[in-house]
Amino acid sequence: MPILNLKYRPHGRTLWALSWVVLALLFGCALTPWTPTSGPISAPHYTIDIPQDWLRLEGQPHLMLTKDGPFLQYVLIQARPLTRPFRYTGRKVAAHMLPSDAAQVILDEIGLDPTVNALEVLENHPALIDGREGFKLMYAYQNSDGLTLRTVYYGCIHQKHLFTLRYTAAQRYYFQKDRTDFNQMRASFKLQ
Amino acid sequence: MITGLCLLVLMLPNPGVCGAAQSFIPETQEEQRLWQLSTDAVGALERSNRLYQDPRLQAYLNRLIDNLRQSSPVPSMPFRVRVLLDHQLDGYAYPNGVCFIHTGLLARLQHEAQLALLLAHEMVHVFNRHALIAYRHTLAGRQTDAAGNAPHVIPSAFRQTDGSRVAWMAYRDQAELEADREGLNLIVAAGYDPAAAIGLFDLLKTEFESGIAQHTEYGHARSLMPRRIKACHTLLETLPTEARLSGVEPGPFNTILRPLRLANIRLDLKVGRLESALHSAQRLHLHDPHDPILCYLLGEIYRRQATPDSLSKAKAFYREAIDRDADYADPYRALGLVHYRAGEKDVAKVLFQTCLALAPQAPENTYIRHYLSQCRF
Repeated sequence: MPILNLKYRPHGRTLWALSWVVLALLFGCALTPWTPTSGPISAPHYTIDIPQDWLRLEGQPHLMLTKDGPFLQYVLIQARPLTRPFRYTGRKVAAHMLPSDAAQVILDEIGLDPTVNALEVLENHPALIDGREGFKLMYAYQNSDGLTLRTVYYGCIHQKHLFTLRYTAAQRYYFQKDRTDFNQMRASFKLQ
Repeated sequence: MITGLCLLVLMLPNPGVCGAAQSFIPETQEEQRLWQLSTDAVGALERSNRLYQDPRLQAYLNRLIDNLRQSSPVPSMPFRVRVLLDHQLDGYAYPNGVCFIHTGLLARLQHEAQLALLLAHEMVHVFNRHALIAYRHTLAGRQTDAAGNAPHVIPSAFRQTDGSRVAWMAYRDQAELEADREGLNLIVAAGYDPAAAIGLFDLLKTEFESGIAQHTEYGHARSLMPRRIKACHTLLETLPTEARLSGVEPGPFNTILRPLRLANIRLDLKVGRLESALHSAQRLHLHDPHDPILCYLLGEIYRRQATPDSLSKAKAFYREAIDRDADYADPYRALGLVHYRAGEKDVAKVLFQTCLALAPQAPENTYIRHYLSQCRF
């Protein structure tokens, strides 16, 4: 199984990061952007425990992890400032929003992402993230090459950020393979 | 290049709509190629999830096109129209006679004659092969190779499948004015009121000036608008009095467009264009102040603005929607959310219970049940 299958294409939000990864891999060991990671990670606004065998993308403001290559599966943890508008809708999540409204902003954004085809929302319900009220989405979609991917997307608003924990993987085989690891990560996630 | 195109369009002989009857099939290899590109682009758009589907509206548009086509020199021309869910004010026709109109533009029209002029305008672009002229011009403008041969590469503008790119060159100055002029003649021949029709341009001008219509490509359209309005008024003066007074009835226009207008308000809400959504909803509300869906949408717009004043307005509109249709679950849910967020959980509780009872299968119910659980002390 190749580490990077260039035929596959993730959806917009991570495209820049993944492009950077591809470029970096082309340059080989000189940049080595992926480094093995496990155990606790402390970021400016949160802490999280990473299970064994994951690789972390270095040099990014967000935490991106993969095992078999980001085109097959990745975990993305972000603390997104509430002032930052989303790319396609131009909307922002506001501090006063209820979880259902914040989830709708995310779904509207995904729905307008031109790289997301045949979007099917499988779950949309409340969820607790480190004891705070948030939302959980699960959706399936096809990327531009027709590959079906599935995403679990948790989010909650805390202070001046929207915290999101996302796990995306090829629906066949990969999604189930590492879902337990993602659930462990989510359970260990602590806001600061 | 744009200036060159305008000059070329001016210089080329133009048979015009009022001229002798024309055939309408691709006449050359390059036109066949252009049609093939158009077919591909149209297919991509028709397969996309952007297509707005309303059989009643489609039947209405088809009747309108048939009416215009009978008055045109090419009654057999395969002109058809599709509606795209897009908030931008845009409409365009491909060289093969397939026309796309955005919901954003259709939603703002106020009279059937304006819609007829819009369609007639696009028909003239197709009849007069404006895109082919632009295509030839683009090819001619490209550098020849070392042997002096013209390039065989299709210009990028003609390879795009994104809406207006294929035909954009036809939308420039002289081509636009020509399409306005001949389109106006066409709708007069079809029995429409031209004075009501040219309100289309005043409407577009107002939208451009209000700043609600914001699009990178509107700059040129906006600058050309005064010339188009002036040219249409001049032409109107030359029409015989009976033509200026013989307008057909608006017919079912507003009734048929109502679902589209509501869909476009929802689309504006989705992409965060609250000002545009409010503008459209208020205009509809003037004519139909008791429509519960419209009251609910106005409530949603004000709730999203999230100021103390707007939240009061949101509550009033949700109440109005409930008063008008007591079985309508959405305003109960939305009103419950406003009260829940304000900490008025006793009020929210009743509203949430009602909306769950009215719409037990609504996708938002997982959240509502959760909020309801927080309302139990």
